[in-house]
Order: sequence, then structure tokens, then C-alpha cells
Amino acid sequence: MIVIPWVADALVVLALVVMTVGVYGIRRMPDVYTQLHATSKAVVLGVIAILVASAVSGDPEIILRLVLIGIFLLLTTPVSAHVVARAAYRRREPMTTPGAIDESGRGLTAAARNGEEDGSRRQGSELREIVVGYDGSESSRRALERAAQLVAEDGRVTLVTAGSILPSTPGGNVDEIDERRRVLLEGRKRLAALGIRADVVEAVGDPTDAIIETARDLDADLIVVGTRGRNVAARVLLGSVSTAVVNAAPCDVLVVR
Amino acid sequence: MHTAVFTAAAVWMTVLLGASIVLVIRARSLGSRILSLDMAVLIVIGLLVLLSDVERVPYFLDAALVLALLSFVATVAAARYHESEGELFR
Repeated sequence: MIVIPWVADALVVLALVVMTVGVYGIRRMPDVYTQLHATSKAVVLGVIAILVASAVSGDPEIILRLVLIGIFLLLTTPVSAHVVARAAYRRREPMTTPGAIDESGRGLTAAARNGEEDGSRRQGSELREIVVGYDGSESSRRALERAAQLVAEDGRVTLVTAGSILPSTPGGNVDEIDERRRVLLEGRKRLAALGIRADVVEAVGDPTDAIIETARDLDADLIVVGTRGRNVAARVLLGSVSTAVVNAAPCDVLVVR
Repeated sequence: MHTAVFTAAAVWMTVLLGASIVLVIRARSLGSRILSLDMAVLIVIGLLVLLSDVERVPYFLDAALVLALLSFVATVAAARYHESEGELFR
């Protein structure tokens, strides 16, 4: 047949392109975990394409050997890729890919090595009682994460929120109270997920007073607050709360940016 | 396969082989060195298959098969060595 050499040509060209991509991938990718894609997919695909190219024009005995090589490669490549990945993982080779996510808890990403990964608690922390001003805002969430990192293994984190509406006020803004409660529970759930003992305090009145009082009651080691709360209308942790807390606190205060 | 394509492919794959050997030497970690070596062997396997096709000599394929077997064992052994910090047999 006249088309067979052309089919073989096309397959060989495909193989060349794919293999070039694979070699470039090893050069370009930042860590073993991503480089694995280059060899175990691209280059192997290239070799398989060459095998097929050779098979379309070959004799039966050649085809048999080509099939044998192909099957062998398809079986062994995933195994060797896995072994290499496991070795890198066990030896804690860092994941330097931007935005890499390491769900193993071994802290292989760049963020984890900077101590920013969730739940990477410091060994030997003395901070057993931490009070966090928490209203669900972005900055209070950061305060919560920071507290979670700093708290001692057997310590406790208490989330404090405050509003001016009494939960029992007839005709009070029920939605807002619900919202506040939901935010607190969400925060507690987050801490529980990190394996940290958590309490919530839902106070009425000025957030600053609520935080200071809670810290005093619990004899807290540290207060963590964000710099900016939701907004004025929400009657939650305002920007100035952090300043007021710093001035009146009975213990150390960490203001999270 | 046409001769021109074979020649071009053989030349280019030799270039790729050289590049991957450079990558083996300049690898940033032992893991990526093992990978680059594995890749170099795969390229050699591809070259052997091409050669056997053009020369019509099937025994190059035997060499390719043996190389594939050896490279698998070698990669696994090297990775185990890497993993166990030098104690291969525990």
C-alpha cells in the first residue's frame, strides 16, 4: 500500500515533537513531581509512536517484538514513575512549583516551609489560652489561622464576637444574629479541623470590651486580632478595635495584617 | 518510512539524547537525575527501534527490549537507593 510509509512518517514526526516536549519539560519544570509528567507521559508516548510507526510496515516477527516492548514500557513506566515520586516524597524533596498544594501534611511546599501552611504548629509553644477577635472578615480569618499556628499542642483558642443586638430582643434583627452565630460556628469548625480545642464567646456590646473581658476571664496568654473588621454597619470588629485592644489588653496582643 | 524522515529523526533524537545527558549531569536533585537518565534510555530505545526499521534488522529490537528491562530495574534500584538514604537492602 502506498499510504503506509506516509503513516509511518507522520507517526515518527509526532514522536519527535512529543519527545522534544518531554525533554524540554525536564529542563523547564521546577521539581521532580512535575518533571515526572515529562518522562512518564511525553517521552514514553513518543517511544510508543515510534513502535507503532515501525509496526505498520514491519513483518510479523518484528511486530511481535514491538508489541512486547510496547506492553513492557506501558507496564513499567507507571511503576518506575511511582517509585521515583515516592523516593522524592519520602526524602522530602520540596515542591517548588508555584501554587503547589501538598495535602499530605508533610509540609513539602514552599509556603509550608515558611511556616504559612495551615496547621503547621510550632513545637513547644507556651501559649495555652489564645483569644481571637473573630467576625468572619478576611483579616479576622487570618487572625484565626495565626492563632492556630501559635497555640500550644494542648492549648485552646477562644473566638470572640460581639454585636449590639441582644439575641432575645423582640423584633431584633434575627438575620444578623444568625449570621454572627454561623460565622462563629464556621470558625470553630475550622479550628476543629486543625485539631485544636476551640470555644466561642458571643457577647453583646462593644467588641473591644468583649475581647478584653474574655481575655481577663480566661487569663489568656495572647490576644490575636485582625486590623480590619467587616464594616461599621455590621457592628463587628472595627478597624479601631485593634488599637483599643492593644491599649487595654491584660496580656500580649498580636495584630494580624 | 522515507529515508529523509529517518535521517532527520535520527539526527534530532541524537540531539535530544545529548540534551538529556546534559540534564542528567545538571539535575537539581537526585530524583530528577534518575528521571533524566530514565528518559535518556527511553530515547535510546526509540533510536534502536528506528534503526531496526530502516535496516530491516530485527535483532536491534532485542537490544531495545533488554535496554527497557534494564532501565526499569535500574530506575527502581536507583529510586530505592535514593529513598533509603544509601541503604539499599534493609
